[in-house]
Amino acid sequence: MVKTISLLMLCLSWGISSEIHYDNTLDRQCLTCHKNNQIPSELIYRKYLLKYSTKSHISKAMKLYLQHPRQEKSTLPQQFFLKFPIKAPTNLDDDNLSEAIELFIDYYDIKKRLYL
Amino acid sequence: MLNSERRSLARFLSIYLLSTFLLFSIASWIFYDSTKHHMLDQQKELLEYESDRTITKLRELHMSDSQRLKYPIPNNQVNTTIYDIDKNYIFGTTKQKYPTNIADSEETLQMVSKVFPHYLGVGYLLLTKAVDHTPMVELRERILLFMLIGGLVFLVLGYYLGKLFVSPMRDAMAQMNRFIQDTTHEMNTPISTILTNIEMIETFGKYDGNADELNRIAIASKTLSHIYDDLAYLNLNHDYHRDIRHLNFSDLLNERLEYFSSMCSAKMLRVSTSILEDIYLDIDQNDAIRLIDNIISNGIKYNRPKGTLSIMLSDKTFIISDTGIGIKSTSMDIIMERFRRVDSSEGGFGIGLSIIQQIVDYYKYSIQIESEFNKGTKVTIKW
Repeated sequence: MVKTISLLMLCLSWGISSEIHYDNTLDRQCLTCHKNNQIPSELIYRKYLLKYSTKSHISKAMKLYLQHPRQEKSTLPQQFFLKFPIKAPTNLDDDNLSEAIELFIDYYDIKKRLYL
Repeated sequence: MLNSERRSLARFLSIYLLSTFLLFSIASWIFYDSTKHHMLDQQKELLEYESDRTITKLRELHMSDSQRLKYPIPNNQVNTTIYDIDKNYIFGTTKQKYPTNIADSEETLQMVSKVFPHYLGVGYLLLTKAVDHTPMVELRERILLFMLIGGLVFLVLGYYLGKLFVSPMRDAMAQMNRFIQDTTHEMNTPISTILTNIEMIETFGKYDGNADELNRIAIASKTLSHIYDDLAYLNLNHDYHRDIRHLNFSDLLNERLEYFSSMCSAKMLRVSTSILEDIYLDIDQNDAIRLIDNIISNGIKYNRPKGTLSIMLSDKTFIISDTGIGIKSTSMDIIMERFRRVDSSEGGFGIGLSIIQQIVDYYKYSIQIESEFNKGTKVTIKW
């Protein structure tokens, strides 16, 4: 009984910690700044989705843009940059950037919202 | 109906119905196949309609800022599934993988629409629909009913057509039977006469140059000979080679009258002749004999006992008239037909006038028959 409760507590704590990690990483790397600057994250995701369709293609395109941000490489319309200027290239290393993008895509993933 | 006739009719009907059935089946199959494709195309149009409708809904969902996105459920029993551009499953009314073969099957209609821009990340939209077989089954039933009704109509039609085709054969067979009966009857009388008279001569053991018995034998033999000549002429007519000569018709007519004199005597006829001498015709001798013999023979045969037989030959005409039974006016049209006898009281095959007609036609003469029933007949041949 004690063993079962201990195992349950362990799993729960791991789940909570991974959720916290998920939120922390995504918030720290992306959403905090987006929220502060009122950058429409979901719109950005939808624009990438509209053009690249799959997670891997979106991830690749986002990564390329964040490392070398240029207006002509962006999927967003020119008017967007009138309001939100182009940010500087990311200082995240490759793994952290990939992880952040992965979390970003998962966070807005459209599949999770669809229902019959 | 004779057995052979029944067999022929059955064969005709079976071939006719079989070929009609085959033709109907092929035509029905072609019709069914094309109509079925048309029906399937109509069902497939629904897929196209649902495709457009779903893509529009996907666009709306893509623009929506709602947290929960209701997937558009298609109408008309169509299933839709969406895939990304790498053909990975996203969502749908079914959870099937992207099919390797998009072709339609007997049971399912399929269609894939490419979606660009990729609303909700959709690269491909798969639409599937179970084929609705109801209209095809109804069509098959209608075709079967049509074939059944058509088959019955053609069966009845074929039966009447068959009877129509068989009727000439039946007539020919009836004619042949009548001919055989006539032949046996015609041969029987002179043969019996010959045998009876020979028996009488043997019994009484006497011979006289004017003996009636010998006279009767002579007449019977001549009758047989006449029958034989007529039948041979009729039979060989198609490949008979005519030897046309400048023939003294007057001499030949006198000769044939001499030949028939015994028959005239037997019937006690009064023969009146007016024959112009040295009338020449360009004619084959056998044809001339058959022409004269048949006309005289008819004049004797259908005359009354002790009647008159008048024969007249001039430059351009040959006329024979008798005081016999005559021919009814209603029968005048058919007397020239072969094997046709308007009076069966006398023997014969009914080929005499047919032979006369053939000869007259060949030499482009003209023939005129005037007759009054129970009074007599007058035959006029002109050249």
